Amino acid sequence: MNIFKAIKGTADEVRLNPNVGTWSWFLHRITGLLLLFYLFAHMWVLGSASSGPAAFNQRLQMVQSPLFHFLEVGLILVVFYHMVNGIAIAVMDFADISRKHKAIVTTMVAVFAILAIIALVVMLPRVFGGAHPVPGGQA
Amino acid sequence: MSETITSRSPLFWLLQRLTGVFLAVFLITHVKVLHWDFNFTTQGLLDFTFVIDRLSGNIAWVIFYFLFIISALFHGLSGLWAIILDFRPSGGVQKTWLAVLWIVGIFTALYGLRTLSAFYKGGVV
Repeated sequence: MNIFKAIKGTADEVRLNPNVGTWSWFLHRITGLLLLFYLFAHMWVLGSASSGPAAFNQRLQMVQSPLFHFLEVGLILVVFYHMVNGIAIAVMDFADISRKHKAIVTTMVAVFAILAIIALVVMLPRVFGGAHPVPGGQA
Repeated sequence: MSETITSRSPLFWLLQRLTGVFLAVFLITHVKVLHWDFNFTTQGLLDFTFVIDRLSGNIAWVIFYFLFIISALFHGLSGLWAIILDFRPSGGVQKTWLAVLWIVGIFTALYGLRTLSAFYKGGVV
């Protein structure tokens, strides 16, 4: 297995079968891989707690810049997509209503849109507003 | 030559669904407790004091986060395993991948437990 063949195979799947189910499958896969990478990165940042509060605060400060706050908006959208689509998959698998696939996808897109708007409204000001330190904290 | 399989076992399929549903609950709780109220809405920065204020000395949070970590690792690595199998590698390559995924998963779970213990003890190392 080589990685280029894998990417080409995945792209072909989307190109040759461009319906809503293929897109939801493709996005689930891409967001899943991004989240797996994020899980390791997140645990690495927090792992500095084992070296004491100063090391933790130093490493945490690295990831609390406007750039990272912006990336976190993307992260939460990726999380919401994977979560809502994943719940739709579980519902279809367990509730035996796969015939209603299009209705489920429509519902899913609507739920995702609502969550995305909430996330953008809450999180975007933080990217541009500039963060202030914790009262009494060290960061 | 080891046997080549083409899809995950039914047990893995079921666990993928179950951990997925758990993760939704864990993640919403995690974001609410550590990020949403303070960090997102008031634009504050997180630091060690803030985290141990919420988590230190409470064994329930250690259990919560350990279950969260192993669910996330299982879900993510088993998802990656399904992707790998989609590309039909040979039996030997499959075996190697499976071993690597297990080792990475167990190592990362232990690493997470070490971090949790630091928070539980409130930063006394």
